[in-house]
Amino acid sequence: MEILVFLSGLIALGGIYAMLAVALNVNGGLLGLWDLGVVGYFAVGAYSYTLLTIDAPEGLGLPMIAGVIGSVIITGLLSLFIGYTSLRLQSEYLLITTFAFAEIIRIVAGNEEWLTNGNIGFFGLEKPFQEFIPGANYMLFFTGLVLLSLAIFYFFAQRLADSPMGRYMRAIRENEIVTQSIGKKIFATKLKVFVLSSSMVGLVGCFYVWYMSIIAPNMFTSAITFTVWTALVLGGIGNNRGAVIGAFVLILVQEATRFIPVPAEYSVVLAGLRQFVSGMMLILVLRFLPQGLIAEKFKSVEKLFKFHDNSLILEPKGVGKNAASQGAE
Amino acid sequence: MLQVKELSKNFGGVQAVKNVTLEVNKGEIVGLIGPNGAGKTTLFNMISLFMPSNSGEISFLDEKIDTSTPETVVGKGLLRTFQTPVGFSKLTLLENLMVVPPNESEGLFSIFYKKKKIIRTEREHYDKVCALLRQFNLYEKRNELAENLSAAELKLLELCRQLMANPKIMLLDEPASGVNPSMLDKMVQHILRLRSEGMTFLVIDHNLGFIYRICDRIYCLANGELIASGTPEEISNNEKVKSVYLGAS
Repeated sequence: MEILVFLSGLIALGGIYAMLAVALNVNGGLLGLWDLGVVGYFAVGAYSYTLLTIDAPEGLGLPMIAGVIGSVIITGLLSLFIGYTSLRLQSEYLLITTFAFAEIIRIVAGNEEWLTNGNIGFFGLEKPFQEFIPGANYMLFFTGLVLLSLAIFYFFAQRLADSPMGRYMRAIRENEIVTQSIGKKIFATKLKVFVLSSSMVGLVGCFYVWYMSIIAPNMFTSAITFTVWTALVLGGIGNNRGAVIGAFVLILVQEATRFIPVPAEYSVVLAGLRQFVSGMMLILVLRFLPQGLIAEKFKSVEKLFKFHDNSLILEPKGVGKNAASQGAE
Repeated sequence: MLQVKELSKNFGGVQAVKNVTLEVNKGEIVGLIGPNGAGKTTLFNMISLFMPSNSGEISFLDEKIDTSTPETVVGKGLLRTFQTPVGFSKLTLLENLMVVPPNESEGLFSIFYKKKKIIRTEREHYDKVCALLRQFNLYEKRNELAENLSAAELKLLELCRQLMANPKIMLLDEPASGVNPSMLDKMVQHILRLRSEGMTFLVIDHNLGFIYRICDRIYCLANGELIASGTPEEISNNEKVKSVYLGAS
């Protein structure tokens, strides 16, 4: 039973990272924004949820569902501000700016004690439906909840990627100037997608609070941002299935290194080497599978049409070929 | 149709374009030639509003457009191509073109509803794209990624992309560079055919044979200044053009 609980905890953590990776893939993979602020929106989501739901005097004591919705809205508003001020920057500059915003958020959380209780944070936070499911089984239930919402995330992200909007986003990723030259309003689109992706990350923040049942500023270091990006690159950037698989592989491998038996006198040194494993994985994948474990798939528009509606017969067989061979000239 | 009046641009101390005045009438093919660094592309960037001008006026269809944005100008029908055609390399040809028309279903919330409407507009765009690709003999490659095309095919794709946006005038930046002679013939045919359908062109190129073949009038630019303008015969016999552009004394 213990091993089952442990495994399900592992899967829940993997699922949380997978949701983050799917959310990041929306703006990092499809739109090609270099966004290193993931952990910032994550922290804002988590803190807003906590402050909205815990009892007075620290919080507002709202019901959980209000906390979740509130955290999404607050993260969205904050990312609207971050995006509006920084999305005109190109690649590296955007990366630095978003990274700085994430750091600012963490430092504010650590210092504004009246609001966030400083570095101590809050602990013993409630989990959803905890009163209905006793003790050890709760972890299994929670894992199911994480996987369910991962499935919802995946479903919508996939629909977005296959929609005309997804195509437009990939066009911006491929060439911003050409996209502008065909009369598209790039900045507005970037801002919309950025806010969407950040609010998704904010929502995952609630799951993280439930998972940890504590919240403190040191949970939100840039290591999370890098883990999510590593997961995305490992799995295959621009590809939702890759994002999910990358996150699970990375988290499982990282956690599995706990079980490598080592002599006691080296254990401290070797523990420091755990990061080495994910770094090495990243290098190997980039060397041998530069597209990631699962490369971005290119679905033909025609296939997508049939997927949407079978009654559409696009090309009577043979006619297309004839027309092409006759040509225009 | 397109008027440029005393347009100037300087980058720091470099005067890239100096008081250039030119005019393109409906249905014309106008050439713009000049040595490297003459300011042709800068001029294009200013006309398409990718770059603000320092002084001067641009008007299109009797409307001043200087203070407008690239998007609105495209909406009015002024389209441009780029010197190095890249397309959207990781998109298929179909996607490359279907992304062009203004599309209401390019919204975040359209993934939740409006399915019928999306299918209908997609279908319309799809038919339009297929017809266009057939005209340009790219239909067979419609599901290939743009990165797998040859340089000449990319130039054709670039033309198709501009055509999808319903242009009234097309600014072509070096459509003939890197294109082999037989493809060039096709390019010429395409351009002439489009003109006979009422399209207007402003073309930059270094291939003078190509320019002389298609253009009604030619402007020659050197060091940011307009040094000559006229019909292909006038330009080819102009001593100033010869000395500046062809290096002949």
